[in-house]
Amino acid sequence: MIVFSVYNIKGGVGKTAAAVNLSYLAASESTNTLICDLDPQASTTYYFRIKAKVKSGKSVLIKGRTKLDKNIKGTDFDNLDLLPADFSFRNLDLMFDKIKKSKKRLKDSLKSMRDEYEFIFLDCPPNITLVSENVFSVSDYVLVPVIPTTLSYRTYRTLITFFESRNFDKKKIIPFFSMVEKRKNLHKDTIEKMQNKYKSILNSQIPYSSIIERMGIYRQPVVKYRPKSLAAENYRLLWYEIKEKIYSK
Amino acid sequence: MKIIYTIPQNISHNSVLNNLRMEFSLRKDSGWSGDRCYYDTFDWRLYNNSFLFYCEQSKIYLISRKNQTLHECMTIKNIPRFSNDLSDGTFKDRLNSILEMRALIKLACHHVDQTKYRVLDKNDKTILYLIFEIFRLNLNKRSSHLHTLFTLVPIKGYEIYLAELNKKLQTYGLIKFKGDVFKQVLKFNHREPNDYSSKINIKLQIKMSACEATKTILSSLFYTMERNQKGIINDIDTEFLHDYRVAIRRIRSVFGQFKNVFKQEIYSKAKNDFSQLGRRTNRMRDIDVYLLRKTEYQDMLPDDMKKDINPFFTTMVKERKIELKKLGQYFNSEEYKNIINHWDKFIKESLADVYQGLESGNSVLPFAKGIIWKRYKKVIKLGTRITQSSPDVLLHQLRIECKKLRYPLEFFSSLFAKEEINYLINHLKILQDNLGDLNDLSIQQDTLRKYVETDSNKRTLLALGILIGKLNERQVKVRHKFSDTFQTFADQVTHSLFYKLFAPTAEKDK
Repeated sequence: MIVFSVYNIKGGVGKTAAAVNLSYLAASESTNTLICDLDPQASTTYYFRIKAKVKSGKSVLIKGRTKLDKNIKGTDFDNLDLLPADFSFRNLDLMFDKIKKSKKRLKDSLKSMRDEYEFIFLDCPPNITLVSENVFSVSDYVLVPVIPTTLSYRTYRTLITFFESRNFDKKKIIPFFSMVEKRKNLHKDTIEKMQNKYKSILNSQIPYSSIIERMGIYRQPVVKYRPKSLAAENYRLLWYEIKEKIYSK
Repeated sequence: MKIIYTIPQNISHNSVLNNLRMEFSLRKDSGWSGDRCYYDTFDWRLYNNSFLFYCEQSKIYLISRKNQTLHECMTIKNIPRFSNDLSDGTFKDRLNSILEMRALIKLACHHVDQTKYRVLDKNDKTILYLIFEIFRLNLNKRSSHLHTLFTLVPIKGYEIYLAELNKKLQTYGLIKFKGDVFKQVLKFNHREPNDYSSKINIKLQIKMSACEATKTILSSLFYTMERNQKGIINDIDTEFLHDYRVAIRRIRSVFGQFKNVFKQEIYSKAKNDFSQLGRRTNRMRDIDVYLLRKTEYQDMLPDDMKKDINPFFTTMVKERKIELKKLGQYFNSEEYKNIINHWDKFIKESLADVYQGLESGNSVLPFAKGIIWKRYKKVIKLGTRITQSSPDVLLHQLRIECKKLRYPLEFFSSLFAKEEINYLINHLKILQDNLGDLNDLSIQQDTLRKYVETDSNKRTLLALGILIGKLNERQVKVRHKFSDTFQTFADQVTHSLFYKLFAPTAEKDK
């Protein structure tokens, strides 16, 4: 079982779109996949037409496996399940701090699902808190969509520094360019700069696409409602490249 | 967990759908029309492991018969004949452990018209699947209606809707489906589960005479022999020949051990005919066994040498082709047909005409006990003589004596208490396995040594040398275990049970 988190401290970089489409692609290859929506904004949950939880109290994430199971929902797609977002996730970092054994419970819950799921995708909120730390420690790989602008570059460097300071394995980080507009010189230049500096950046890039923007209207993965589009093709290439990378080890 | 309903003849399925549409949001998803074909091995391995295997629309499915759950599903280009034909994955692994070297054979098919519907909530989220199916049997040019089924398939986390729809369907007059489509379709094709088994399943009665019992046993064995013929000629898998030869060995054992039941000429002809059949199939079986060992041998060699034994197997494959052709010709020959017809007639003939031996009229129970007790004593006598330094030939003899004990135990098992006889058979089997392994390892080394004489390629010889060495190591270990294994078989409990069941009353009274 492999756990991917899709993370960036900045919002609006294409995290959720990537998580939704990559998990759909994984499931469409007949591998059992779970996507967990950790963002209290609940966009992933919305895209899959599922209701987010609004109850307050301890989050299911740290209540243990059985509670987790009760909350998992099947999506409209074979082999793909979703753990809906929970409004209580906004306080998750406080819970990790205050409630004993909460970090261990998250790790244990995810690990115990290895017989059910081959892939787990964690769609992370755009911030850096105790939650993110725990997600990094629990993930096998951290997929980081990066918009090729100067500020994004700086933010990416901050992430690397953060990993170093906490002694997390930097090799877990798999960055890829997202919302790329090839016509913009800034994008072209930043891509070149970053590719020179960071060899681990994937070759596949997700273009800026209004088709992807309309996911909120179609409420389906792009790969499903526009399978022949450039965006869909790029997600497929991205998934293929990710698989190559993780299985070559 | 799925819930399956059947739509009774007086209710139209359209009315059911219309009723549902009034209360729920339905969307037609997909539909297809085609055949669903069921497969299993000749000896029903999937069925006996509570599985169902079928193919429809280029997909294969493995379903648990116990709770109708889907265990595996896979898209395929061609139906796999053997589990190794599948691409790597959980389906292949699962099938490997159940099927081993047996081939999948098509059992029966029925026609399916399927339409899938999604039940949607206010967000257009699918909360349940409804699968509507019409099953038909294909009869030459017409088709006959088998069932109309409505299946509710829950979606994780939305099970509450399953309960809701379940209640609704009952109010429309639908009835829960309790039938077994698989068995029905089989029946229509004149089959039923386990209509073939390589295990002995002979039902004798205490009131039978020795010759009635012998006839019953021979009839069952002969039938097994015939059932396997076609599979051999069509080269479906290696086990048809194996089961055929086992049946012949058992038949020879009957004629060899059930003395004085028939006229002497019958014994002579039986010995002649059945040893002929055994001989004609020896080489082919040997080759099959070697080819089945290919992966095992490769696993015993270092990675860079695995390919070096290929010449050995290539030679085997070539020889097998020749042997298979010879066997096919033999099965079609007049000589073979005469043998089969002769014994077929013999078995079907009335008792009065044929059986005139000393024992034939006697009751089967003392007859059976006599044979078994005699064989048991021989096994014990020979086994106790064997020490760590005894020559291999004695172990070989013991192996044969154990077989001579095993066969009558199995033939007559229905005359004794099930737990007791099974206990003895199981304990004998452990001893037989040890002796069998020993014999097997010895023969393997001999064969490889013989092959070495014919090949001069250095790499091949090196690889074979390693194999022979490893087989020899194994043989020494197995030989070492013999003493304990025999002690266990000869222990007080087992001996007391043999004594209780089979010792003649005269001996008991002593």
